Amino acid sequence: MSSTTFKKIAERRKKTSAAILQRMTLGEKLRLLNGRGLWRTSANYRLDIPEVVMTDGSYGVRFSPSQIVGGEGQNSDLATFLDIVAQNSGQGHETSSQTEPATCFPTGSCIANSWNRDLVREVGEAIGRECRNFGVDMLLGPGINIRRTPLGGRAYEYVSEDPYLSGELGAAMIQGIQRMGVGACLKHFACNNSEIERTSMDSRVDERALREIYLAGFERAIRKGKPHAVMSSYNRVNGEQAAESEWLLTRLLREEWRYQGLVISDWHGIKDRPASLRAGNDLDMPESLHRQESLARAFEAGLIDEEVIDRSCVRMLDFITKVTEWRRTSHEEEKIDFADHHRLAYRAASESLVLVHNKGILPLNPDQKTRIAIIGAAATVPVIQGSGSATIRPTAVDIPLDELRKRLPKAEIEWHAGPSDDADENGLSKALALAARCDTTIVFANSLVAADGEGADRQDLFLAPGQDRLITELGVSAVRTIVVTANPDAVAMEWLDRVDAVLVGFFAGQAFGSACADILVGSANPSGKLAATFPHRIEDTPGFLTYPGEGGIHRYSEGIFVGYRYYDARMVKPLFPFGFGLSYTSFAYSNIEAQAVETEGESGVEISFDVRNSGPLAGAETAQIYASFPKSPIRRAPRALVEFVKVSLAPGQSSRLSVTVPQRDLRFYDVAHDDWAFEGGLVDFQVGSSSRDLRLSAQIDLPASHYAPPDLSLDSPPIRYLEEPLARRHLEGFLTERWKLSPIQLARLCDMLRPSFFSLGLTLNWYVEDSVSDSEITALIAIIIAERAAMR
Amino acid sequence: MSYGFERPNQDAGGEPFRPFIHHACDVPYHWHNECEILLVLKGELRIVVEGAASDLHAGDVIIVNSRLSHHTSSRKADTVICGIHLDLGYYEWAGLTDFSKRHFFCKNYLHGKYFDAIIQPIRSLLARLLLSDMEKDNILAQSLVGLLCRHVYENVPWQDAMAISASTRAESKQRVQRLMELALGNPDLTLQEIADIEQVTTSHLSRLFRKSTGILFKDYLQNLKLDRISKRLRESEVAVADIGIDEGFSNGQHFYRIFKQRFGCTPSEYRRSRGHKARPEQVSSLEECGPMLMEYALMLPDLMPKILGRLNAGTVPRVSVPHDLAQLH
Repeated sequence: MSSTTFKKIAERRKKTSAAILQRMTLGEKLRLLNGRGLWRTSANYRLDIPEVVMTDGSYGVRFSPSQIVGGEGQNSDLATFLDIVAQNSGQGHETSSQTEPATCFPTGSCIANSWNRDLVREVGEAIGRECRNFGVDMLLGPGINIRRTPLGGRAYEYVSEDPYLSGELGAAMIQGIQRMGVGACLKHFACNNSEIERTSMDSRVDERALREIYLAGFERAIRKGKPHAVMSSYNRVNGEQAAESEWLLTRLLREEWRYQGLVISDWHGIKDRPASLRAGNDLDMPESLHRQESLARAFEAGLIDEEVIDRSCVRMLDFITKVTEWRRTSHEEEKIDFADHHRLAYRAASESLVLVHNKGILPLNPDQKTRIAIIGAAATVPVIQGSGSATIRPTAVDIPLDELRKRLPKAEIEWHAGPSDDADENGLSKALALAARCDTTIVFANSLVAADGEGADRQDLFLAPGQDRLITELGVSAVRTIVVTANPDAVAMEWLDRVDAVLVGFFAGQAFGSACADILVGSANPSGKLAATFPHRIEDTPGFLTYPGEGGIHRYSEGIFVGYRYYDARMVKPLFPFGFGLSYTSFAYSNIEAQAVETEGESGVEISFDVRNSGPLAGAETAQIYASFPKSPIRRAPRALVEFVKVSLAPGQSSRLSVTVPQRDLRFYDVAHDDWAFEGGLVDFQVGSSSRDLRLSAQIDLPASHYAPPDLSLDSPPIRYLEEPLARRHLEGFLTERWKLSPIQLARLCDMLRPSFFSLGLTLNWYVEDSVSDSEITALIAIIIAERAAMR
Repeated sequence: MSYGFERPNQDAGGEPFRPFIHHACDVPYHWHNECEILLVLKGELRIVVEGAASDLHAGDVIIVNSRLSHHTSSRKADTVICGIHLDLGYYEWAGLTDFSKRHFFCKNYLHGKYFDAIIQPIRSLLARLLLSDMEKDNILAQSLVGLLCRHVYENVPWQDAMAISASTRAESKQRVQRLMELALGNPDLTLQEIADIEQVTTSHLSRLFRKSTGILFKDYLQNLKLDRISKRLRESEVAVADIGIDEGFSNGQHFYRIFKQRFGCTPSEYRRSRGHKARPEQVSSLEECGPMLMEYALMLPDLMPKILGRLNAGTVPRVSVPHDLAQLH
């Protein structure tokens, strides 16, 4: 669509919305800004304003007809809502059994390992199609909060510890869903990185970390994905309730980022409705007569302007038009091919599983007559998703044990559930005895099911009770052991050196069984790479000392040093670094070039390099490009991801990859000037297979942009003037003028001033025995600041 | 065509329901005591209810609640609509408690797909009804309408009609309602007499009436008159001219012209058709939309379990057997 057509449509939409608004009564406006029941907005029968149906699910559609219909007018179904939030993915799907079957794709933290924008977009489209099938106008996803700690209860839904990867894949998911005419809702805005005291905790984040880490992914996903809605989060951000923060929802989101869409609350996330509306939180979900009344009372008392109500109503009307247009164009016959979606779930899983350890045991040879022990309940009841509002009922589930039997027809396969907990000696000894009779043992392990999820963080990084001990004992017994894990985020592996291979599954969705079986026997070549660092132990994680906060305050003490930025800066060796993942083939990198370019008025750096499949099998590699600022006067992370490219290569095949990194992505947030800035100087672009396996590097010198040193004050010592060419020029002018100095005298005076740690005024008065007044210095500073501003 | 100005009189043996199907033509503002369910089979229709316009497309269903003034106009030449007028009072008497006190919210196009569960049985029951021979198989028609009413009663969202009228209607509106009731119950009252009763001038009365219904009060009175005439034409053997004179027409030509304007035929033609047989226009609509109606009607067997409601195994009553069936062998 050309931008003029888009503008026209946007204009027409605005007119219609404005026209409808004209005819609305105050009561109708207030009802429009509150939900109807749990999952709908309020239809207006007088003005024919349709309702919007929405539902949860960030990796599939959780649709329950009874929930959609029920619960009008009252808060009575708070209990129903709490049931949904507390629903448990592991125990037979009690709540989710009432929901319609839908394709369970890999969760956010899993599909992130694919590093594949196209794949994520395709999954988004499939989810969009399923939304249409169920009659859902907007999916309440994706969620892209930073995976700040691996313990985070909803880390399984989120993408990465890195804002660039989070933003890119978040945008791809939004584009996919919205391509089908259905709305996407980016969540949870912002700094909802732990489930501890989720609705009251105050996330205290310094402004640089807030901008560069926690908000950057949202800005990227919004700019590229243009979601129809953004959901404000439950928590407080730096003292302010997120749903009531004008800074977050209006100044930043709408004014700085130019976001055009709707802001909706998290469910019952608004505490002060009038404040939330003033802040820019348009839609209050779900229905609450109490909050509706509080808004009406605030209006009557003159505490809220009608323009504020109207502003949100227009956004709401625009939003309704956008997300319900598809209904008129859809056909009854539009049928979903769930088998096709299952195949997509398979592709997504097979690109997202990460092989992190392989002492040459994998892939297994399917032609070999061998005896294989398969241990673990998860081999027969796979752990494929997390617990919470996103938990869905899959259309089909591939069982790992069955899938392995199919692929290893010549092998003799025996299964045992293994120990049920640490005290289950019987289970342990039976599993060990089985393993001793076999040539190879495959353990299907998992973190404790349903201990975490929405509303609760994990307690530790260990596997479910009994499993770490089982794997350790297997390792000691020198049996060939392969471990396959199901996990929301990182798990510790104290037994790693004792086992022969580890395939990390995350929550890989309904096709996990077939995808992992194909990788184990080599019919698929793993290409997943970790989207978050795996630490050796929880004590190594960045926020460990201040997690989970106290007294209702959670200080993000590590600042911008989140994830690999921390491990790199502290030189802490992780278990597996960010971006790491093995393949059955190998890749060689060569011929890097970097050059400054100008595209569409934006300056950037083009980086080109060759990647060759140097191994025996076809495979895919994700080449990662990091930027490093070795000489920066600013405290920077040792490296930061700025681009990635995934490429599939046949054995021996080579490909020249080229990316352009815009200069805006190299900026830091300059707190002294409340603005983004680039300090310029030497930038080192590092290209590699993981954040700790950097194969190529190219340096380029770039000019500064929007950068100014911290402002001068009366206190500033002479060196602060002398080190900056602009300030030095003015200082020299001032000195020459003031005392009529010759160039030689001026040079000598400057040399004398340089070592002083006292202010310029004090130092001058000491050396020149003259009284330089504060106002003279202030005038000098004013000229310098004015000229700096003119240059920016 | 059922404009429906008249109130079905159960005592006189009239039906509590009147189904209809026709090519939509412009139907002027009118008002009736029955609740109306409308289904667009083809084309596009604009309906204005109480001043608020809705554009309906094929497949759309709306309920026009009792006593709301409305008018329709087709937006496409080939538009065909069908529907039914229901005397909620009758079905309330038959067992649907407070049925007539409900204001229903039923516009499928304002809702998500889940609303189809409510709409599909309405479409199917209505289609099956139109396809049945109401003369010969009256019991089927009665049953289908009974199920339709029960389905609406059980499933369509509603609010207390009193609360709605209290909140949305001004006092003047209620006065108009009162006028309508008054005129309906007293056929002989003139505009002047009614104005005297209400203690207003005739011009004020007309203005007030027109503002809230969109038609002149004298046209409303005339429509009531025509309703009564059509009823007598159908149900009695009194001569056409006598009926006209009884209703105050002094000029035969004027009577014929007015009647034809409303019903599209002369009073004698109307009598010959007895108002029973479908009029030509109706027949063509039926034939044209037969396949569409059939499609809806064929969904009925699948929908039936939902329409009838869930069988609860625990409460199945014991069936008493009048004879020992075993003895028959």
